[in-house]
Amino acid sequence: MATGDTPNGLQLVMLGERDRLVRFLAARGAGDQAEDLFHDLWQKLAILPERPVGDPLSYLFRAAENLMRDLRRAAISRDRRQSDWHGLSDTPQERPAGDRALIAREQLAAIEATLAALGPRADKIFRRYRLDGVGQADIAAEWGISLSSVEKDLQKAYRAIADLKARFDAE
Amino acid sequence: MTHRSELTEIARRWAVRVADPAFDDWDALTEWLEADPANLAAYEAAAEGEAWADRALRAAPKK
Repeated sequence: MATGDTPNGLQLVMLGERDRLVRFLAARGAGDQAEDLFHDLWQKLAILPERPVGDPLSYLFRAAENLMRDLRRAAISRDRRQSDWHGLSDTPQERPAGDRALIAREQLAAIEATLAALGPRADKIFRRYRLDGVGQADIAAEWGISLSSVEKDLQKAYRAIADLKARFDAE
Repeated sequence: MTHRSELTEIARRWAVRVADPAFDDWDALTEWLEADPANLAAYEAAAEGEAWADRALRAAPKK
């Protein structure tokens, strides 16, 4: 591809699973740019220091998922800057720093209160999952509860957070 | 077409599952996303909710 160097281990897996990865990228919002984004991923992996990866294919799908999230976030902040420029919106970005800090504190307090209202187990499980990056199976083992109980707690927490975000977005 | 609130729940279930470091059902996620263009928007909305909470909680002073 772009470099004449020998592909590294992950890149070899990427080539072998090209169709699956491109199909995922297309479905995940890349549309007809999927081939280009596949190439972007390829370039990213080229400069990555080689290190052992547990499951290379899962790693590649995860990298593709993260790429789409990054692109989406970049697109959202670009739109926001544009509408700020035209003076059409009053987003946190254009408010003074003091206001922004106040809003951030308000949101944090609301999130903490929302999680606390779910009960200590769902609160702790949500933080363990989201902030510590611990998987559901390990959380289930830590608490000595079933996988489906962990999933239910996470669903509950995600739902409450989504409702809260919708309220803030509407303000 | 799936009913809107039902779709929100299904998308949320996917977002919860994908967040697991052990998630490996990517082909099934691909198929679900391909099944209806509305699915991608619902999935992204669910992912944004969790990311929003992450950012706030990570910025919080350590307790």
